[in-house]
Amino acid sequence: MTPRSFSKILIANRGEIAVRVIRAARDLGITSAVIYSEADRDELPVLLADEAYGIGPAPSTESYLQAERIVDLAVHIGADAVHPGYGFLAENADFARLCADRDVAFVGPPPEAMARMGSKLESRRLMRAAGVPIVPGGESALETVEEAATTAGEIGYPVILKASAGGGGKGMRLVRTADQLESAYRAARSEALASFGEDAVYLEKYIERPRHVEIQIMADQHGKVVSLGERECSLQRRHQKVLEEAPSPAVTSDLRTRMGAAAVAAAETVGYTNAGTVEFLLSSDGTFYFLEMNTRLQVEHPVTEMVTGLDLVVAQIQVAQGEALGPEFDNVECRGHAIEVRLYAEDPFHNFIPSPGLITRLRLPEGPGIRSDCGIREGSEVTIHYDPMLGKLIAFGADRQAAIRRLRRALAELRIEGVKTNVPLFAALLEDSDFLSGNLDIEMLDRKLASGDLAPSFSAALADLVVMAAAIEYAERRSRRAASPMQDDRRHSWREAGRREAVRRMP
Amino acid sequence: MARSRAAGSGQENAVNLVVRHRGRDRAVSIEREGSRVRVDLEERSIELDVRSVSGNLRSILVNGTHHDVTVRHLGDDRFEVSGDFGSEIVEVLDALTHLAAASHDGQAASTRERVAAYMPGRVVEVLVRVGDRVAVGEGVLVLEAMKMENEIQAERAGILRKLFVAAGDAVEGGDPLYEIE
Repeated sequence: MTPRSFSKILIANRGEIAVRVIRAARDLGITSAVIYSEADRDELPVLLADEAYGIGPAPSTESYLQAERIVDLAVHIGADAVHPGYGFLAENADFARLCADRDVAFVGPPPEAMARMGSKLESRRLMRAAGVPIVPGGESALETVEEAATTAGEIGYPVILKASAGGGGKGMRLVRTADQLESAYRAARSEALASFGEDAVYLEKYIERPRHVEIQIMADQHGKVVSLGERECSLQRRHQKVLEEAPSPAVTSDLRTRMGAAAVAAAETVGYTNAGTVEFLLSSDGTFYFLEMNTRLQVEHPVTEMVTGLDLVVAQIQVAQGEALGPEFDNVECRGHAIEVRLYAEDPFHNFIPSPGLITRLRLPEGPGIRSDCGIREGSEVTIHYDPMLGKLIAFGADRQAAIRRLRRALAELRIEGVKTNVPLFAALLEDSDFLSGNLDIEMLDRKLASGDLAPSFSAALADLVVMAAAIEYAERRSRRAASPMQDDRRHSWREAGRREAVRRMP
Repeated sequence: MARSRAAGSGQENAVNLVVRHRGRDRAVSIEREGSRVRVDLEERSIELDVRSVSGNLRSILVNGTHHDVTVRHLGDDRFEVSGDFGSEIVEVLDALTHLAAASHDGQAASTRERVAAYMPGRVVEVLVRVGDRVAVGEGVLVLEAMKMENEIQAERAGILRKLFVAAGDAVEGGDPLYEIE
């Protein structure tokens, strides 16, 4: 394939990832164009991009998910490529095909690779054939509860039921004993049908308290596939990552080599190109199992960028242009430690209720080792239409300790006001002894939240400060009001009001 | 109005207030001269230096310790104070007004609390019935908003006296959901 140079990229996304891609395009001298919904006209991507085009009303089904309209727009404005970001259409093989049909490059893997990795059952079969370790369990959909019981008996309880089309914990059921199987089987099937439109479920051995460790890979269109090391993503709330770091405190150099080789084999077996992530469960005895492959750029890609010095989004675009991966991708060594936190508009101490609203103040942290990838500005409106992630904060240091110290500093500098955020949760987490020891597993955060370990402490001194600040403001407002009686006091006659006005005008 | 004239001339009035924060009423007296403020907070007297940095942003020095906080007036007597600790809602009342309100309240002695929707959404499911006793943290109903189902949990224990919504109802932010006693 002969490389071509893009002159314009259409970014089919919003928020922080749209901003991230605009920056990469600009670094490459490529014109950036974004789409925006009616709710996002005034938001940061539109303000930063070279070009911006309205794509439809606020609901994402009428805007950011309008595949045909987006490809039509790309053709119409002369874009050479579409970058899907993550979420929305990023893992939609039909959208990738639609782009290819109209001769618009899709910045991502081939649709076939996407489709094969999209089915959990098929990807398990492929991985087993490629010699990539998978969690012990079935490789076909369970047609009856009897079949489920037989398989569960073979692999041994506890087991976990999963939807073949699944993701994000939906359609998943943990079964500890045989008598729980029947109801769990029915619940998993109906939840899978409701969430994904198909009710195929299968069984896997349940691994107790594993870590989530994933390998970032990069593959060009000339047959080169490389591993860029791991990310530790065990800190999750209900299967959603909240904090990621690289390297993993649990991964030795030898394990890194073996996991990297497995990830490269996984990518090669489906003919993968561009950036991708192979997710593994790592058990406490050091055994790792293939979980799934994310066929897109990940939210947490910056931690890999910080420790490798590479720009993954730039590399994505270069690969999509047909360029070969450069020498900087050979034998990539990681340096230092990076930690990312995902900033959400939600109330971490009231069941993580989303907190929409106007961002009345925003002060982003600066200084050594701090990077912020944010999609908001002061005056932004966090609406109910989209995921409430505001952006990410990434800290880099010589080692894990140094990165943690810098992240604490960054969180202390950060101000996001107008909406509730999960920042206080991170402040507590960064002081937690289990987190500090690096002894993590994928259920740790849920356990700590349930036990109240991370509940905010609010000191008496802070309470005094809050009370005093409000009282001073109240007194200030009242003295201002007293100075201009016209505005508030309607009891006086017009004559008296006139007299007061005359007095007020006197020098 | 609980305003008393300060002793010396040229000084602003001392203002006596009651500040309600996290369920606690605290007596505060404020005396201000330029950026210097003397606060009598219960038994203690504290000197502060307060500057308006920009808009609602205040730079506050207390014995050399610096705090930057944003104070927003939310309407009526309510203020939101934000800083590195997050956001806190406080109610400020004139001391005399507070006294009058307290004696009036004493007669009615109502402990009912009405809970409103925090944002627009749709009621997916109601988990309790009128007359049920609910514990702190117990789910009352499930509200779908921002593409997520959120369980609205009781923030205080009591008996559910009224339900203003049913499953399937669309609600706007501020609409009453239920009343608990």
